Amino acid sequence: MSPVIQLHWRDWGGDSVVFEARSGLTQQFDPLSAAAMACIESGVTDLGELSQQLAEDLGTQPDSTLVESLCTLLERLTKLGWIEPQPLQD
Amino acid sequence: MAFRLRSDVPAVARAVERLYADYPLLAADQFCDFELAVQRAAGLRRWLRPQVTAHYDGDPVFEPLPLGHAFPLTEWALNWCVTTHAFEHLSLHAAVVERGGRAVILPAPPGSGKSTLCAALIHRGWRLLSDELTLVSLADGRISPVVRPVSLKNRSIDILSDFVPGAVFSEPTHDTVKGTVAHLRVPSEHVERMHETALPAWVVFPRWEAGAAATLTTLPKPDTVLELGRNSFNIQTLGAAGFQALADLVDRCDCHAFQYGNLDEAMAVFDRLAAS
Amino acid sequence: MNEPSHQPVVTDAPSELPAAAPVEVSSAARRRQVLRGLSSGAALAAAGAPLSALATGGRKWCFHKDTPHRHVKASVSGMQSTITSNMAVGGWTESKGKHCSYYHAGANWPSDSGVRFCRGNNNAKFLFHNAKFKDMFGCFGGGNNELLIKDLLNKRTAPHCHWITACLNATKLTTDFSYSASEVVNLFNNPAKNLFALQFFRDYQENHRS
Repeated sequence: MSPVIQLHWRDWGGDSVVFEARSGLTQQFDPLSAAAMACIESGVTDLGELSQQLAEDLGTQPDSTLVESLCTLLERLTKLGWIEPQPLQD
Repeated sequence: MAFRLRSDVPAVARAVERLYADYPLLAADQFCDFELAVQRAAGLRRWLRPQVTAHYDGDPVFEPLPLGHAFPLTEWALNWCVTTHAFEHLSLHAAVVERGGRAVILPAPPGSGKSTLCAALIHRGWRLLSDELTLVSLADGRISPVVRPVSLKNRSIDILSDFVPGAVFSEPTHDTVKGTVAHLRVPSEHVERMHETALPAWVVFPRWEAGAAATLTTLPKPDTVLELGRNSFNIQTLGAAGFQALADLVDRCDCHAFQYGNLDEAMAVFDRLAAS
Repeated sequence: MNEPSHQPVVTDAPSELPAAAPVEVSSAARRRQVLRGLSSGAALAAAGAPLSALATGGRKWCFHKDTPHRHVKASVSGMQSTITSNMAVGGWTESKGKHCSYYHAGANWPSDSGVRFCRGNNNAKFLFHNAKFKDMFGCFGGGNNELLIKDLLNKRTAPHCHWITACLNATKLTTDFSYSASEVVNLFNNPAKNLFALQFFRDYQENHRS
């Protein structure tokens, strides 16, 4: 999670909307993407752990479709500047 | 909100006399919020294809328009004054009317029939809060009225003339970029209550379509937040406070899309809404 | 030009990168809870759609031609809102609008295989040699609206040149300009925003003369 990002969330039980204070951008997030952001905001930095947590929320096991969706989301978030790729540990 | 308007254009004086007769008149030395001058252009343009200019607090802020467009320019300039100074409000491009203490906000892009619908509603039991500018207080979420004549164009002028026999209009202005434009006088009882705020209860996105049955469909709130945001003048400027005000507004309201092709049917739908 | 009496809300100290803000526990928990109420199929299907956004211009800045040192937010609603120093973190990109005189020369127009054009209504292409203003902006005819856009660029007494220039900037500069051509057309046709947008394009966006 980029340390300069300030997010303000609102949700009504389905999709969420989020405002990012630095850019002034407002985005609508589907439930999976919003929950993924909740995990990232809580400190999850690993794709494997992210997939596992969200699969548990969905009552299933992580599979390739879920991982692919998450990769697409992470790419979008990186383009927005909301998350930063971490260097691999030696 | 008080304006001081100066103009050397007779058409502006006639329109103000016809449409603003019920409004309180301040003394010359009383404080006003905005000083606006709508005057004939100087120099060659005073006589050759004459033009009119609008100055706010002495500064020219608009491009000159043909002299015949003087009164619409006045109304647009008044809108501009309000919108650029509504710092304590989230401002939306939307009509808003009230009944029984509850307000319905009608945002819409041009051509969707918003003003026609608004003009009809205010003659069927709804009180006008504004035809163009919905001001949502950042402090308490209430709607602050901006009660001014309703702007109509082209066929809507004839439709409202039939719907409201005896309705008072300004002289029509032809050949604007929007076609023919005329302004409808606000009922005096609405002017008398122009300081009464109201809590919003509904957001309704209207869309006129010939022959369509009047249909109200529920909109998801996240979608409404984005769509209302696109109709905001100042959400980008307000930052997080604007977002919170917008989200609070949507939270408080039932949100709908509304399609209609007949004004009487539309009125019936809004009667049911008010009774709910 | 009158300045707004308030400044945008800033919550972080400018001199250092702030620590990550504490997560609103209830919000994060609610979002996880919503997901638990969905089937895997439904959640993944919804996630396949692009993220919808409310965005006009993103983080772009521009300046008034009389005060080029003062950077303001480059959007119609953000006009006159100064970008304060602590908002510079993350980098705002400049919105580089050209002055209408730049486009007097057809050679400076956007070109596709040698055909000069400008995007307008519905983001369609309108050609340099024969496009009329009323067609490009989807508006009523009569008066200046009947004239060719290339001729209106020379007609400084009418506001049309600024609208055409905004579309040309949008077409030529694409993401380096605050608005797309279709957004410019929508602003033109919006009676409540028309005059604000005209002022913005005329005074703030036509700020590069060459």
